[in-house]
Amino acid sequence: MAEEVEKIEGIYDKSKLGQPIEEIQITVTEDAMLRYANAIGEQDPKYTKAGPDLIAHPGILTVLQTPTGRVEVKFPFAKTGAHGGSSIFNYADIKAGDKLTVRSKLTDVYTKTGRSGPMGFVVHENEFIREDGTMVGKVADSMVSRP
Amino acid sequence: MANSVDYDAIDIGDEAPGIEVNFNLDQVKGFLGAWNGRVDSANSRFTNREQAEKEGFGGNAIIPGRLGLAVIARAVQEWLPDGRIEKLDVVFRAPTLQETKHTASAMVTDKTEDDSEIRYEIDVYLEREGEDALRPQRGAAIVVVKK
Repeated sequence: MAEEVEKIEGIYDKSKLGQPIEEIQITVTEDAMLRYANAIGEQDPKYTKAGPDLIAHPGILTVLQTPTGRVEVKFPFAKTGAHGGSSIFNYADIKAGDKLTVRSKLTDVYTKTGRSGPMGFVVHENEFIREDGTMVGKVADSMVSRP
Repeated sequence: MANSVDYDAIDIGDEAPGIEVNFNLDQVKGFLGAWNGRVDSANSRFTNREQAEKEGFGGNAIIPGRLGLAVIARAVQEWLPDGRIEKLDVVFRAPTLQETKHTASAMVTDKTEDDSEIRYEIDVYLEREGEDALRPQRGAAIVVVKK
């Protein structure tokens, strides 16, 4: 983690780093899978043809319902914020009707200095776990704050 | 494996054919509503041109970063249809405008192989058409093709 963050007191509760924040249960429906594939212009029948062989496009992990809880991080310079990037990890196929437990946690907080000044990054991760215990995937979202 | 793809012939330095996209407001709304069929009013920088301009995004509404990520995943998956995208990291470097032509593509940067699988490491990007060829989204992926 960058030195600047370590020196700033009270920016966030460090005891929350890596700890589960919230957990919800969702069911991935065939309708949602097909809506997503259609929305991104997908044409491969394995993602677009309704029926028992349909699997969810891996990108769907980024739009599945997730817990709303977040660990608050207050960068002192922050005036604007935006979604800085996402990482998706796709371990197993998601099928229609799969019931998933979605678990969120804060995984990283750091700063960088760019041409436009300091930037603060907060990474929250969501894990998606099927009823049989298989982690089908996870998504790490990075939010960036700037002056 | 799909008989039409010669995975042995895809090697370091090879580039995907790419996918051209040009998202409009209806498509963005379809993406935002993919999970439950509803569009959250908090997403107005994506659904309202005037709001996007107020927030400093220039002359048009923008697309969600996750939609650009999804198109990148599509481009990779179409190029390597039997592959599983095990990991996809994308940084949202700049706003991606609606009603603007972009190309999603990828290039192999490493390839390893054993008896059971071929593993590709791939640079990925979404590139805006035009003289400055801006790449508002860039990242990397790992794709595994089972033999």
